[in-house]
Amino acid sequence: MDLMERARAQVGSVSRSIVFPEGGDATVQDAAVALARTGVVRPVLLDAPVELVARLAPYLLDPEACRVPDCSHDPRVRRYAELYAARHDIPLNAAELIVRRPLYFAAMMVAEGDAHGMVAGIQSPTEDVIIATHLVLGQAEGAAVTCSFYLLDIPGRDSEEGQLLAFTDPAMHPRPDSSELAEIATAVAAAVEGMLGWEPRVALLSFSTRGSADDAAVDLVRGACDVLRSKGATFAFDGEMQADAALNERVAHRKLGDSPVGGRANVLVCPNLDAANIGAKLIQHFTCATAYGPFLLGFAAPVSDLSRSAQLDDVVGTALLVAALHRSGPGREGPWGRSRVPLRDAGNA
Amino acid sequence: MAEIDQEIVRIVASVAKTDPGTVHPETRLAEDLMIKSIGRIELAARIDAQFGTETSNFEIRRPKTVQDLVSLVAGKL
Repeated sequence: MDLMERARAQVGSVSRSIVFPEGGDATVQDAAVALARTGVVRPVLLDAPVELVARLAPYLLDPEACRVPDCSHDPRVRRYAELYAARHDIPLNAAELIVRRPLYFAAMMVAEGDAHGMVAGIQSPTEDVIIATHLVLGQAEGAAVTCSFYLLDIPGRDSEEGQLLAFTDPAMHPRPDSSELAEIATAVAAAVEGMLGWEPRVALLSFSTRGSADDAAVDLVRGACDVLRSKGATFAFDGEMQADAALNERVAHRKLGDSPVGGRANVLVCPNLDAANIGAKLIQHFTCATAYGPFLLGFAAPVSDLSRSAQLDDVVGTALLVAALHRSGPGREGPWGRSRVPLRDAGNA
Repeated sequence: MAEIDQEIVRIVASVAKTDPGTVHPETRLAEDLMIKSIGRIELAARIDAQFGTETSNFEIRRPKTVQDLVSLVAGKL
């Protein structure tokens, strides 16, 4: 089942609205048209040019609703500012300045149920997207960690999951300890199971395989595996192992022997952000892989970052997957954990 | 202390949730007051709301000390 089919199956007959705060970007505008054509995602673009309406008109009954002409002067700014100010205990005039920013306005739309998810980052550093998500949406109840992962569509990869491979954490944890690494592995395993229907096979990567090297960095990865075992993780995992042992069955047999994951990994857990970010971008560069995400996990609503080098297919696929992950109503379990009580209900909690 | 300095000290102390009396020009925003990336968003917004300035995410990350912050704001007025 390809990504479009999976998204359509997950979303059902009612399309999901995904807000793009960087509506002035040409790639985002092209993606909006492609998404409108699918019927799965209803794009909402902040600060997009009026010409976009005509481009969307063949596919939508009310294309004007897909454009927020000037979010900094939108009628919702006052209400969003009041909610933000109350939540963060800051002066209202400062809160207004914050929520007028497209990233924050878009995140507030999601928090307030005016959109189902957000896709951002084609013009913003990842840290800005993460901070806005953290400040507005917050961590989901029950989420042990916030983290990120790429879903890479790699030409030439031939696996049980076709060309797809999950890769973590390229955006959020510079130097996770063993416990955090174990939580990241758990979160991404749950995400690929919920998002894609996969049976997760998680490889915790290192420059060592089963003790071939001795270093504190190797101990950290082994420690993560120990944590997963002690917590009774129910998904298949193994480590520490090198990337070739994770992906190549012949190498896995030689280096690992019997392993539930060796040679068949569909989730690669890198030991730190350097390795994950560099590795993902090398794969993209040398294979022309499509990179969906990085999806931000553990927040109260579906959000994905985008690389600033994202191409049209990256944006379209990412938005489809974010739409597929939306769970309506508080208390519904999903890869993002249970939904937090929306900001508008905070005063009644 | 000049008025602008006093106001910035007041804002910084409020963001850091600390006594203004403990905030001095040489006080370090990250190391001493734990105002890191997330806290700088509120810091920038409150400064801009107070002084009518526009401070980008890039600009607000650069000051290391309270005095650096005062210099940043003074340069915009």
